Amino acid sequence: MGRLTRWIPPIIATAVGTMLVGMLVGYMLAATVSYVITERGWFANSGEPPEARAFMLAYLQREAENIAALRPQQDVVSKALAEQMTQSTAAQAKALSLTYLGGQSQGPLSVQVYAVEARANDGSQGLITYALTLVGGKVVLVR
Amino acid sequence: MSEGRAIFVLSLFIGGLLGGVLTERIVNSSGVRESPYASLDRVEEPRVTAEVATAIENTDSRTLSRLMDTQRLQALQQALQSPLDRPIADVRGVKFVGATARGTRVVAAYILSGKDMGGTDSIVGFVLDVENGQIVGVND
Repeated sequence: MGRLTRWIPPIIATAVGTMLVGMLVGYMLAATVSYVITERGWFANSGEPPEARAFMLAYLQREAENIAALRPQQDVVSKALAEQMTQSTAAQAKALSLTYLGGQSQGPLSVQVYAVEARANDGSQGLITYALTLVGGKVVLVR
Repeated sequence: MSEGRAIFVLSLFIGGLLGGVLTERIVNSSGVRESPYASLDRVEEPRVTAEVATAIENTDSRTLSRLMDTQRLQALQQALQSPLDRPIADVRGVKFVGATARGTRVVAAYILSGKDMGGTDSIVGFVLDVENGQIVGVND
C-alpha cells in the first residue's frame, strides 16, 4: 500500500480521503433522514407518493412481482391468490388513462385515490376508482 | 495544522457531505416510474358530493338520507370502514381531494379522518360517482 500511494502527494491523498469520507457520511445521513421521514409520514401530504404511483402502474400492467414488492410481506399462498386476482381483474379491462385524484396522510398512514378509465372486453368504457391505503410506504389495502 | 489547512480540510468535508446527499437524492429519485397512461383533466367539486361530505362531517343523517338512496347509503357504510374493518364512529373531518370526469360521469374523491369504533385514529378514502347531478355510486 505504501508503494502504491508513494507517488501521490500527501495533500492530494488528504483531500481525496476527506471528500470520500464526507460523501459517505452525507449519503448515509440523507438515506437515514429519508427513511425516517417515510416511516413517520412527515411531509407525506405534499403530492403523489412514488410508492402509490408504482403500485398503480404495476397493477394496471399486471406486474405481480412489483405488486408483491409494494405490499407488506405475505405468505406464499396469499401471494399466489393476489397474483390470480391481478391476472383476472386486468384481463377483464384495458386501462386507457390513470388519474391521480389526491390523498392525505396521518402519521405513517396514507390514503391515495386514483381514477382509471378502462375499456372492457365488450367495448364498453368507464371509470374505476381505487383508494390505496399505505403504511410505511407499503400498500396494505386497496378499495 | 495551520488555520488555512484546517479550513481547507473542513471545506472539502462539507463539500463531500453535500455531494453525498446529492448522490443519495439522485439514486432515490431515479426509481420514480414514468406513467405510459394519459391523465384526465381535474374538475371542480360537484355540489351534490360537497353536500354529502358536509352531511357526513356534521353527522347530519337527515340530509344524507335525502341525498342518497338506500343502496348508495349501504355502499357508503361499507366504504367508511377503517383499515381494521371498523366503522368510523367519530368523524373529525371530510376533505375533498380531487375530481375528474369522463362524459357525463364525475367521480369525486374524499378523505375522511376520525376514530373508529375501537378508538383508533384512522383515515379512509371514498369516491362518489355523480351523473346528471345525482349520486349514482360509491367506490365503484
